[in-house]
Amino acid sequence: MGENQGYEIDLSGWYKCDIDRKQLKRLMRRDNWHGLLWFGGYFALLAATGYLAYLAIGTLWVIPAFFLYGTIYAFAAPIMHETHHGTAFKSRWLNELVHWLTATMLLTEPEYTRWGHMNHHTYTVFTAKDIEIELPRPPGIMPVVLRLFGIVMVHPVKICKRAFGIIEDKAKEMVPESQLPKVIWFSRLLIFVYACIGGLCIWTGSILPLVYTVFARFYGSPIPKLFVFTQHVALAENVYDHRLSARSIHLNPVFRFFYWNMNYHIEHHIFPLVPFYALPALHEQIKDQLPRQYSGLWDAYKEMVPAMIRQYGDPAYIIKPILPEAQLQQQTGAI
Amino acid sequence: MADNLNWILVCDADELDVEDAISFKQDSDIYAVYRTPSGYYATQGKCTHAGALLADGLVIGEIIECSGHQGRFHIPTGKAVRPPACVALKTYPVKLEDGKLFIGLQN
Repeated sequence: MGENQGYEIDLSGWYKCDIDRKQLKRLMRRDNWHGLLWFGGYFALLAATGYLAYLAIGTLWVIPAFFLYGTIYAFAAPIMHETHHGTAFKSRWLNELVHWLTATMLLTEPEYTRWGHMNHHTYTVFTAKDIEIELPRPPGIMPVVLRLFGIVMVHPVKICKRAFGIIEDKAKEMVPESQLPKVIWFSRLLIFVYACIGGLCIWTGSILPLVYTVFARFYGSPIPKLFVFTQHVALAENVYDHRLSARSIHLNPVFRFFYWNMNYHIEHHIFPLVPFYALPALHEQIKDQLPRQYSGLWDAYKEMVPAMIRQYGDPAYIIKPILPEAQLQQQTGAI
Repeated sequence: MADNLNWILVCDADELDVEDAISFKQDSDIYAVYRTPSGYYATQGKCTHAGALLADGLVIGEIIECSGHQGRFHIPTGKAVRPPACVALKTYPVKLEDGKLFIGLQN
């Protein structure tokens, strides 16, 4: 452990791609306008689809309209993720405001969730440590369904306990001690916000405030989750090389807009300080050192699903991406 | 005090832009050498929190933000200024001579 504060992993031990230092510094530069543009666009679409859904009430269009609204609502998750890293905006207060807002939309308390995600970056797919491993190996049907609808990501009992200052040991392990009061106060604020929404339902005599918020977090979750599953599922565990434990996929600009470029997932894990809008440029700089980028969701799933099925008979089975150096060796050998 | 120092060449000073950092290895130890708006500085090379290389982080004015967990340190003093970092960095003297940058290490 050495000088590290209780960590069992020395982060400098992870594989790093070679990249020109000055180029990397340029890519890490932050600004506000990218975040404002993407977040503004997201919120405008959320408001527009929310209004359409409202107009569709009383017609058969209500189901697809609310599904569309809920899907956009649940795409708050990649925005929250970017603000976990402080890379969504240059301005710290703006970053923290959006962090709180998106976490609240997703029924989570922002501070604990941030440090849980830092834990994921420290111990990416290390089975004994990483709390964000999406699916066990082999993946059961129930974990897939529960994850798909975002159910296991919401912890109302823990939030209530934290609001009373009762913080579980796991949280104390991950959240820096100086930040624990924030966990308590944000938990209280989360409860207050949702008590107000509940109160609004009673006051208006309508369930709509819940349909637009709490329920949307669940019924809108499946499509965003289909993107999230591609990040690590069926890849290597307990290795210090994100090229083996994470997956990058190609997506069209619309999907990349909603997903805040998290399809460049290997790149994000190796260089987490590079903001979302610079990830395509980072990819161009280091792609020769990465495994092939999957051509899309279908390309990823056609490998993932058979691998997950195979894991029922052979739980040790994992997908092993071909690294460029191995590919080069193969080619050289062939010559 | 200064007599006890062994001045080791790090790099040409113009290799570092303002708000830039570079890793420097001497024997088995890693150091981070920075250029901030107020000058050149050096600290230990790995974050006191989880060991990430500080030179891979982002220099913002007089602050280095670690690439691992976004902990922050005040470069001139090494003081930890944002969690999860809470243990200060060791700092080292730096001098500029004939356009070259040297770090002062104890003999």
